[in-house]
Amino acid sequence: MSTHPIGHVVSEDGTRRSLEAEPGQSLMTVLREHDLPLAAICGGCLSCATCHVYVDAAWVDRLLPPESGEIELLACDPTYRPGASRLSCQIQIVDEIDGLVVTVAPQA
Amino acid sequence: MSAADAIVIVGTGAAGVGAAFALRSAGCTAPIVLIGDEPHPPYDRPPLSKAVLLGRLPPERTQMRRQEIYAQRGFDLRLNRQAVALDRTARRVLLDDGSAIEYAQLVLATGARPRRLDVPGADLDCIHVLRTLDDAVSLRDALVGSPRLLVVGGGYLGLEAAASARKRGAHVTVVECAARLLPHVASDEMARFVRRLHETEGVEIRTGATLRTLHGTGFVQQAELADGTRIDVDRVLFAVGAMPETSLAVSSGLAVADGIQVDASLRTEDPHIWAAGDVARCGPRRVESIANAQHHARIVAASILGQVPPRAEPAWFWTDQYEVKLQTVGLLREDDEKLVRGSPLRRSFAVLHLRDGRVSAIELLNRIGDLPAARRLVAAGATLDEAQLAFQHPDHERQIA
Ligand SMILES: Cc1cc2nc3c(=O)[nH]c(=O)nc-3n(C[C@H](O)[C@H](O)[C@H](O)COP(=O)(O)OP(=O)(O)OC[C@H]3O[C@@H](n4cnc5c(N)ncnc54)[C@H](O)[C@@H]3O)c2cc1C
Ligand code: FES
Repeated sequence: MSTHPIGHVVSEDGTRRSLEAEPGQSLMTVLREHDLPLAAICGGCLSCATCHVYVDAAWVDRLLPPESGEIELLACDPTYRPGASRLSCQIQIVDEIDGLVVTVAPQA
Repeated sequence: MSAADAIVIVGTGAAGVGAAFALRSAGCTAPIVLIGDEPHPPYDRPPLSKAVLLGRLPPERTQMRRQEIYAQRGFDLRLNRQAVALDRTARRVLLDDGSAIEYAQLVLATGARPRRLDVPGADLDCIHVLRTLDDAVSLRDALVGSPRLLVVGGGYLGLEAAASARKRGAHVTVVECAARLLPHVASDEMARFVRRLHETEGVEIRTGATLRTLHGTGFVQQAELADGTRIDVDRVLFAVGAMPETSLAVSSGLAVADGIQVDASLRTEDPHIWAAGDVARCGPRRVESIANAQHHARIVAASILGQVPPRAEPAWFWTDQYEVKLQTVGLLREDDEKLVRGSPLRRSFAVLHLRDGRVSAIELLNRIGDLPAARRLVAAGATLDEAQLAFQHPDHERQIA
C-alpha cells in the first residue's frame, strides 16, 4: 500500500514534522501512531473531543465539512476555534489532502 | 542502570500502555518493560464492537501507535508473552518462555477476561465472546449471510454487538436475565429508550429470560430458555460481563476482592506492586471503562515517580448503537432521584441523577455537545438549580459559531 505524506503537523512547541499516512486512515490514527500528544480516548468513536486539531487556514475549505455532531462536541471545548477546529478522527486520509497542515490543540 | 531498576508493566491495554507513556512524559528514564500475551501490537478495544464488527474499520486501524514508537520511547515491548507468576521476595516476574524479569516497580494492568456461562452446550462450536481483536474479527466474519445470532446479556457490550450485527443483516435476539436491559449501568428511562430503539431496528429483546441449555451437534443450533422456549440459532455471543484477570495477584498472595485491591495511589499492599485499569479495585467499586483505565495510567505513573497524582475525574462511559450516542458521566445508583430533560421521542434527552439534592450522574442521549457541561456539573456535585440552568433548553439550542 502506498503511503502519503500528510504534510506537516505543528506540535505545541511550534516544531513542524512531516508524517506519512496511508489512504483510508483517519488523521487521528496517523497523529497518535506517530506519538503526537493526542489522548483520542474514544478511539475515533466521535465521543470524546480529545483528538482536537486546528486545520491551517489554507486547508479548511479543502476538507469535507464536519458533521453536526462533530461541531457540537467541539463547540463546548474552551479551546474551540470556529472554522479551524476539527476532530482529527473525523478526517479521512485521501489523496486530495496530501500536504495538509494541522496543529494539535492543547489538551483540556 | 541495572535491570533491577526496571518498571515492568504486565498487560498492554489502555492502562498498561497508558502508564508507560505517562511515565516517560513525566520524565521517567528507567527501563520500562511492557509484557502482553496477545499477538497484536497494542490496540483500542472500544471500536471492536462498533466499527470493526460493522466492517467499517480494518482491524489493523485500531492500533494505538506505530510499532517503532515503542522502541523510540525506550520501551521493551514483548508481545505474545504471558506473565505466569510473581516472585515477590526476589522481585521477579516469571514468563511463559521460562525467563524472568527483575523489577523495581511492577504494574499489573491485566484487564479482564470475558465470562462464559456454564450451561450445557457452552462448548459447542459457533459460540463467541468479544474482548480481543481476534474475537472481533471472528465474530465479524461470522456475520456474513444473515445468520441468526443470539446475544446472551443485555449490557452495553451485548447491545452494541446486537446493533452492529443487525446492521450487517443478522437476525438478532437478545436475552437478558434481569427484568430490564442495562441493569445497574443505565436508568430505567434510558433502558426503556434503548429497548424501543432495538425493537424498532428489528432486534428481538427478551428480558427476564435465562439461558438454560444450548443444543446442537458439533455446532450450536438451538438455545433453550428457563421457561422452555426454544430459539433456533446459528451463532451465540456470550456478553455476560468480564472477570478481572487477577491470577498473578491471587497466586502471589495479594489481596483480591473483585479486582486487585489498591489504595488511592493504586498501590497494592506490596509497596513495589501497583494495579491499574479494569483489574484494579480502588474504592467501593471496580470500574471498567477507557476513561478509568487512562486515568489510572496517569495516577500510577505519578505515584511511582512520587509526583502529585492528577485530580479525580467523574466516571465516564459512552456507547454507540445504530445512530444513537449515549454518554454516562458519574456512577449510577438505583435510589437516585431522576429528572428527564429533552425529548426521548425526538431521540435527544438527558437524565439527571440526584442524590441528596446534588447532581451525582448524568446520562446524555444524542447530546454529545452537553458532555463538557455534564462533566463539570457531576465533578462539582452541582445543585439542581445549577443543573437546570445548564439544561434549560429542552432541545438545547447551542450557538454554533
Ligand atoms: C468490545 C469492547 C468494547 C468496549 N467499548 C467501550 C466503550 O465504548 N467505552 C469505554 O469506556 N469502554 C469500553 N470498553 C471497555 C474498555 O475497553 C476497557 O475498560 C479497557 O480496555 C480496560 O483497559 P485495561 O488496560 O485495564 O485492560 P485490557 O484492555 O483488558 O488489557 C489487558 C491486557 O493484558 C493482557 N494480559 C492479561 N493477563 C496477562 C498476563 N498474565 N501476561 C501478559 N498479558 C496479560 C490481556 O490479554 C490484555 O491484552 C469496551 C470493551 C470491549 C471488550
Ligand atoms: S477520538 Fe474521540 S472524538 Fe475523536
